[in-house]
Amino acid sequence: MENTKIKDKKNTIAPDSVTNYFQEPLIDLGKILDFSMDLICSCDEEGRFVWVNKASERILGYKPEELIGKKYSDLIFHEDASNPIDENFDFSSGPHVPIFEKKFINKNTNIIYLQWSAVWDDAKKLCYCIGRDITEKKNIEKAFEIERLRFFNLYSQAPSYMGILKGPNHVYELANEQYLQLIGKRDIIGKTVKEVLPELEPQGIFEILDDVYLTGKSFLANEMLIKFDRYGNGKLQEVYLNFIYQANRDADNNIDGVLVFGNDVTEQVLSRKKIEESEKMYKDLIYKLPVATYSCDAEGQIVLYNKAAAELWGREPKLGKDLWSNSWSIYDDKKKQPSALNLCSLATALKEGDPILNKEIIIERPNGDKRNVLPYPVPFYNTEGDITGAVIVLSDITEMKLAQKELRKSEKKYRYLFDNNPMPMWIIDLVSFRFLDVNKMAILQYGYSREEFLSMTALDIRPNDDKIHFIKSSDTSEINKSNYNRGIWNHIKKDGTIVPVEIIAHDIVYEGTKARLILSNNISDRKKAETNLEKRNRELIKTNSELDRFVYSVSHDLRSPLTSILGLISFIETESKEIDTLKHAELIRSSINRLDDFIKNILNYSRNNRTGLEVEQISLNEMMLDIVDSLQRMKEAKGIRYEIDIQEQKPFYTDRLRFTTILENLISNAIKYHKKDEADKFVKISGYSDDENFHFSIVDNGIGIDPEYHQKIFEMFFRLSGRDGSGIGLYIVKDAVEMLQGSIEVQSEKGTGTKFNITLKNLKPC
Amino acid sequence: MLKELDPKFETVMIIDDNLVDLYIISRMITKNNFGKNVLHYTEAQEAMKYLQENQDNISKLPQIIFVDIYMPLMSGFEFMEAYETLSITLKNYCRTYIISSTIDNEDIARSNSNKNVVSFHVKPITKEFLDRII
Repeated sequence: MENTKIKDKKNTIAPDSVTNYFQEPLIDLGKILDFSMDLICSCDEEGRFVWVNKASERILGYKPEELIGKKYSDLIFHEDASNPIDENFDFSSGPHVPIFEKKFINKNTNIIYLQWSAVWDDAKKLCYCIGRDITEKKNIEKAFEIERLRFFNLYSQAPSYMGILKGPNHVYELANEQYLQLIGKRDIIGKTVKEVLPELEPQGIFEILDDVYLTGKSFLANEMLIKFDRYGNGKLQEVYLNFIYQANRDADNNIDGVLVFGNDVTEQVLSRKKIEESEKMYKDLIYKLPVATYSCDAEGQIVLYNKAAAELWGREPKLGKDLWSNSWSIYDDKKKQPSALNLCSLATALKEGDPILNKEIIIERPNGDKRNVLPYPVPFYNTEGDITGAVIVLSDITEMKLAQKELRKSEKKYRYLFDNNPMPMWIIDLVSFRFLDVNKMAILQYGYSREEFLSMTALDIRPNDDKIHFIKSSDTSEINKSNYNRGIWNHIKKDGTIVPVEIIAHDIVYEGTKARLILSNNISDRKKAETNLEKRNRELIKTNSELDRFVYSVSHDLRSPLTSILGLISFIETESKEIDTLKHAELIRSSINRLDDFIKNILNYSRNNRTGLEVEQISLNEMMLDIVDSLQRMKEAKGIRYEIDIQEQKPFYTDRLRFTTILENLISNAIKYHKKDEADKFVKISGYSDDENFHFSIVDNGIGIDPEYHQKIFEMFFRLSGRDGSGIGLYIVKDAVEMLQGSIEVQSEKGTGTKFNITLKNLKPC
Repeated sequence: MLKELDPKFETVMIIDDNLVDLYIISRMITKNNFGKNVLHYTEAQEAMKYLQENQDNISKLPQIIFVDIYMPLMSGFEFMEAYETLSITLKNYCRTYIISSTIDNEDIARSNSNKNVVSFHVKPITKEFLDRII
């Protein structure tokens, strides 16, 4: 509008100044014209200045005399050089006064805007011109344009939303794109807010607008929750807005509307809320952790701690005052003194990887308790990678330390057992056979020093012949289930002597590698003893066989003269008529017979003990008959009835010699000790064989045995009567029965006979 | 005291290192009219030498041989081993008995198992034993 005014003024002034004084004599007029604000001049046909007033000096910087004779076109600013025709004033338009603008160059090179009016005098061939300096006007115009553009840009391209509401009903007069996007509406200009955004009514927005409109007090909203029905479907969407409602005043300072200016901060608010939430969770987490945990800021001040931490510290720290390391003491293992703690900031400690953070610390409680603690700091970084703080978890390892101490103690104990074991012990690597450790006794007994041992392998203490065997057996001797392995080996001592040792091996894991614990027992003495024993054994065998030969020759050499005597007696008996001689001969024979029986028994007994069992199948009935038959030559055998009833249910196996001895002795006893006057003398043999045993009994109705002697009859040299018998028969029986893994018992009463029950094991080969 | 009865056998050989036993058997033989001629040997080697020299001369061979087991230099069993090498004629003609005071079962079994031995008999020999030999 202002622009228009300026143009109007120019149109009214210019014609006046040119026309009023045109007819006056040039000299008089010249004086007046010289004082004109405008540049007044005349030019010839070629455009050369003919006359110029003094304003030229003020406007163009040239004095009038400098300009006269010059072409005006030389002073024109050649911005429009491409259009040379336009540069010339149009003189052909006759009496009509053209008005036009031209840029001129001042002597000082400034560009001057001149508004020209000119008239052509055809008679004088002169053009009379008036040029007004409008440079200032032009500049104001330009500045205004820039300002307008600026406002437009600001308005349309602002990252904020803007709008102008007019009047008490808040009619949209203006709203930028941002605003439209915010509310999700178009074509709102001219409509009231109530029409466009009815959903704001219950949110109290209109009251605020009314208030601003009426009072002129601005309203500032910070992260205000506003719900828009963006899609017109009744579903409200929440946005957080920062905005200002500001009263807009007209030229008379009366409020005519409300300026709306704001930002959608929903995302920021939501993400902040999220952060707050996760921060809360994290705080909760720390607080509820059963492990002592606290967090610090970059300066190391405790900002958060949990119950467990307070318990561990034995006090509540002062938030924002106590430093992260206040409760820490570092004890030097040796000095047992708290060493000075470098109170650098936590950030520095973390960044530089201060070893203190990975080291065991001791927390001393106000009551003097000391806890061994291992800290685990976890630093926080911001986006620039700087440490902004840390969470520190403190694990109380006091109990663990105690347990470790106990363990070390017991390890020490075992170590002591190992070192001071009276037997040589060592540990070898299972792969390289290298000695990993040896005890004192090994060093003492083998003569190698500890260093020598540790530089050797298990092969080095073995004679060459044994080495291959050792490797082989190590390969295969996956130590059996009990993990113990025994064996006899030869070892070489340092002095070269070879000693036999018994090894007890036990697979273990030694410092992480598969190893074997070896216990070596020098068995030289035992070996010697064994050798002695073997020698003794051989001697015994020799003695035994000599005894055998002795008994053998006894059977011949002792019996031989007896038989000779018996032969001679038979001559006396047949050839002598003397009663006494015959009687004496009979007594001699009886004595010789007893001696002979005794020799036979001794021989049997000796053989019974010395010879091994020769198990064979025995035909029981046949055996009984043979023995009974062979005993018939006994003189007491006359008039005895025999009953033999053997059930051979299963084949019976035993040693024939012992079995014969048993039967011969028992049956001959049954025959021998019969009552002389008994009418029906009998010997009954009955029994049966099964898979397990042969059970049989030998019964007679002879003189019987008093029960008081039942235990004694099986003793050596026990005799019941003075007559006959060597007292060795039943002893031999019992001995033989036991050898055949059997049992014998006697049932007898004096005068009514005797029953022997015998059970012999069936030694059937499997 | 007994009348002239022909002895049961013409010649009987006795081998026993024990002179008493040799006497007893010899007397038993003659008293019981068991043999006419008795060849006494205290050494088995000598007896074997005689048999070897006369193994084909039946008139000189004994019909019955009694041999002891335990003798020095050559035992009864060693004698029987040598006996095995003698002529069929001799083995068919002579009947050999082992007479010993041993009661060792092995000796008895070994004697009985020898095919050239008629039987084993434990000392002292009796009239009944001689009577059973026909």
